Amino acid sequence: MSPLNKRVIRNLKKSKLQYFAIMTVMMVGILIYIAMNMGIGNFENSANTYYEKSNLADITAEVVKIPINSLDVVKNVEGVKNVEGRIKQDVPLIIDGTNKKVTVRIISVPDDMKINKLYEINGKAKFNSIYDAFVIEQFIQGRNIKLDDILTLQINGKKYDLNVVSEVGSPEFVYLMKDSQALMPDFKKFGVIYVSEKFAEDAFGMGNSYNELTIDLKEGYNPEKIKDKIEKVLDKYGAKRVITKKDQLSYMIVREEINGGKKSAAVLPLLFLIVAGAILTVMINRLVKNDRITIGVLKSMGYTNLEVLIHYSKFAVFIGLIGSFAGIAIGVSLSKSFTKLYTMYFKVHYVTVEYYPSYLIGAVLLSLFFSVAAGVLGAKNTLKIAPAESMRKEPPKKGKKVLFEGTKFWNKIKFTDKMVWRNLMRKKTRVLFIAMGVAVTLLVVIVPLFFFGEMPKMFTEQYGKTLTMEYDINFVAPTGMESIDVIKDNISYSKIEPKLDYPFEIESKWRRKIVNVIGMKEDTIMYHFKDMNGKILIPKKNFVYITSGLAKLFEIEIGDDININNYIPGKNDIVVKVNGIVKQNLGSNVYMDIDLMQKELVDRDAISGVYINSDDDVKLKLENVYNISSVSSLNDISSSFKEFMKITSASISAMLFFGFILGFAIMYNTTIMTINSRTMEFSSLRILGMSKNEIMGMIIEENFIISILGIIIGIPLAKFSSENMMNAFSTDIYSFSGTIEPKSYVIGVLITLGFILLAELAAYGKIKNLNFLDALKERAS
Amino acid sequence: MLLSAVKTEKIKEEYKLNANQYEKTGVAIEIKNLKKYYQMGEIKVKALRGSSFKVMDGEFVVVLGPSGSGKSTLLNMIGGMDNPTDGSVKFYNEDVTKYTEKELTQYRRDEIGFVFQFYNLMASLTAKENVELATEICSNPLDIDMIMNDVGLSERAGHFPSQMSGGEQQRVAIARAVAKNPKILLCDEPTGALDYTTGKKILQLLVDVNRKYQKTVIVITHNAAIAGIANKVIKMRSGEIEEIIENKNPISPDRVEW
Repeated sequence: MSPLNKRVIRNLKKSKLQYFAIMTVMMVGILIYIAMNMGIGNFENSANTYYEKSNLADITAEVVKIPINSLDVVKNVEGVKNVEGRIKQDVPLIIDGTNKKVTVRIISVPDDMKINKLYEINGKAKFNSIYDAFVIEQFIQGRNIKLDDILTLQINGKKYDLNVVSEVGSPEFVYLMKDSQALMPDFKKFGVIYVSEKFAEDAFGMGNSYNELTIDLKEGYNPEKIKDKIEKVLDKYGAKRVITKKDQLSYMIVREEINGGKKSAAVLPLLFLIVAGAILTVMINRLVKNDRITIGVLKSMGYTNLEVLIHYSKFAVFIGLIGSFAGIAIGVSLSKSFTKLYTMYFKVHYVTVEYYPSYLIGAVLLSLFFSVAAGVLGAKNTLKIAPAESMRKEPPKKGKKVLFEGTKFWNKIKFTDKMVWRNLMRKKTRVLFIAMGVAVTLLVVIVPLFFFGEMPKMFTEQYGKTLTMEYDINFVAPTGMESIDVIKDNISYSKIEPKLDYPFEIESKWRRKIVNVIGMKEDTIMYHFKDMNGKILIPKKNFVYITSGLAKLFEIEIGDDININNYIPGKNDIVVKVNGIVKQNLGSNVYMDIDLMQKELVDRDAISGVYINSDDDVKLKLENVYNISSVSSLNDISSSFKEFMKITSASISAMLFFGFILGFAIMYNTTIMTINSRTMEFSSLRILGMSKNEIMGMIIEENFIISILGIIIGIPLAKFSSENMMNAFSTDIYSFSGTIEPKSYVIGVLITLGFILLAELAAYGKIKNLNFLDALKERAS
Repeated sequence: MLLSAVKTEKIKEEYKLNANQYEKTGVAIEIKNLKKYYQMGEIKVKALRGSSFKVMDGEFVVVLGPSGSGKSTLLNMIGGMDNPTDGSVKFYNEDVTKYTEKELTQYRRDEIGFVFQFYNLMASLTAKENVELATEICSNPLDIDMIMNDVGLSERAGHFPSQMSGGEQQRVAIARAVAKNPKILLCDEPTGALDYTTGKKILQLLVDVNRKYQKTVIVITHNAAIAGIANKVIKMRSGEIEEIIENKNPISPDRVEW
């Protein structure tokens, strides 16, 4: 090995802790890049493979009723490859003889299923009896159901016992949610059961008819255009809802998860790599400055500028390569865990775990790019120094008075404080650089704290301030107002209000989307709407409000018209004027006067549930009431939310850990660099009688001032970043709109200062071991 | 990279041609009216004010002068480490002052060996590795082990500078310079950081190198006692040459007293 390469390795070993800190930052950046990209890549590929192999329907059409032999009307639409019909209905599941308000979706399956094919996990592949049932995996796990268990359903007033013969997965329910109104999946309260067509026909009285079609399209056809045609041909069969794959709830959630993950995977690694590159640049720059005479000697021997530049760049490249290899190794194994984590929550089968060479090469190239750039930027000054000039020590900068020097205040402060202040004022670039590092650390700490704090706020804003009902009761199917009397007879209550909650397609300009339209009394006391400025909105007669997310999506302002496309047979599409935009972070809805909704869209007198405020044991007392599919209390929703927050808190903890690595690496390295470059100065101070603690105190004081500057820069940086990230991570289902609370800033600052203090303590060893006599004698480079 | 290598070879060939042509004349270095001025703020420092002299092939030359006389500046000009304001430096009749950056680098690589007052060894390399550092890039280096033996450091080859005395470190520096097989050895106050006894040993080593390896040696110093060992003494003051003394009977370094 050449002597210069030996020099690189030995110098790296000598300052191994310092280089290790930078290498860790680079390693973390690379491992996040690999783990997240590969994990998401595996998840996306697995999901796509699953959808392809199981042939997830391109279009799903809900109708009132279509005879089996009329399916050709759809099949004859240009672009349609295949159509299957099915019977689908949500019914209550009877548990232990009582109705514990568990809902199951019954879906009939043909003998030879070609669309939305089920994935057999366990049990039989076919129905041997009409009372055999395939149960979806999430429900099996949620309710601890076993094969051969009997599940009792209530259908149209009759009880049916079904025999569980198989556990299956379905591409339609990779993420199992009852509807878009549900905050979180609840596998104990909602499941899917697949039954034979014969059973469904008999139980639901459908005869030889279906109420839903699944449609497979030929290659190259635009689903949106075909969907319009299908709507037209199904009109006479009572077309209720026709959606393409991209609007299918589970599919949409999976896509949003993947897109969100890709965004994070793009941004987060870069943050770490940029910081690692910046620290390396400064380190190499320092090294070159300290090695001024060495560079002169090398040039005197006949080494070219390029050879000298390459020599110093090797320090950075070496760190970069080690960091990237370590990051790749850890990232690859972590990517498996990432993939597993995804598949825990998203029931994707045909899971493929691949090691994408493109990401491995990308990781090496990324780290090389940043480390070579750091090396060249840091060492480029070697090119400028003439050989003779570099043999001389760098002339000291002209000393002049710094800010406050000479003032009355200056004369009152201690000598060491003066030294600290002068050092800071004379090296403004260095100070700014370190301050930026602290600012970035603060950002990495505050932004996750913000999101973590924002989510409970969003929840309590929605469930507690906007929605104040204690119980949300849903009926199996819309009924008349007399259902309220039945409920009133069974429980004591302080307040009760009817609601009408129904999905319709909203259309404005060229955009269309199926959303739940919720109708309520104009004098509702269960809803407390606020507009975008926080001003209270008081519903008036025939009010129509839309949520802020929808308004943004459709580019709607107050006074604009929207079309509500109605699939209910016998009912027409309507145009309504939006007279309010409601600030809502969870869910997308249209809110209407229930009278208007009943008259124009559904049926006079129709309600789909009630809202209740009651101190009574509502769940127990309504257990046996017919036609109630679910009773949700605020506590239920709160419990679901707490489960959701557990997952989020794990990722927040990971972010805080990464913040610690960043902050530690930055401060540790800068402290060590400071000590290295001022060894003579500190040695002289030791000889003059200053203690090690006093010298360390000076360094801590300097770094503290720089940290405060960094915090001052970091606070607006965190605010700016969080605002931009809110926009980037908002979806149709949830959106962020808050601001960082003072509490988050305080916690963020304290955590950042804690990291910095730890770094200072770690660096104390350098001062403690400073041999000032040797340092003053040293002549060799 | 390939083009650069071809160019380098071409430059080397040109050196050899010129060197061969003019070796017969015996003039290794010819300085003509050499000037070097530095601008330090508003003040113009005249480090060299027009110096002229010749150094013959194989001579041991001492450039003597007090601090600030321009000795180091002169050395840097001869070694291609700096460019003059005016005048010329000819190395075997090749005007070095007209060289490009690349040509100067090649010149320092193949023709010049530097020895500095404070040794300037690489702390993280052993004695032998410090010598290898120089020979690795040369086209015609001498055998490292032989050189290490000649400087009396064969047994210390694997030691780091921090494990050596000042004299030993300076011997490594000399080995590093000699192993390159340069035509000229330029020594900047080689005994300046050493005690009397060690300093004399180093001087003896330089004289041995001059005789055994037929290297032209130029030593700059403020120590007048050292002048006695030289063939030629060039006295400098305030950037000018005061006197050039030809010494037909140079004395052995062990007879030098200061």
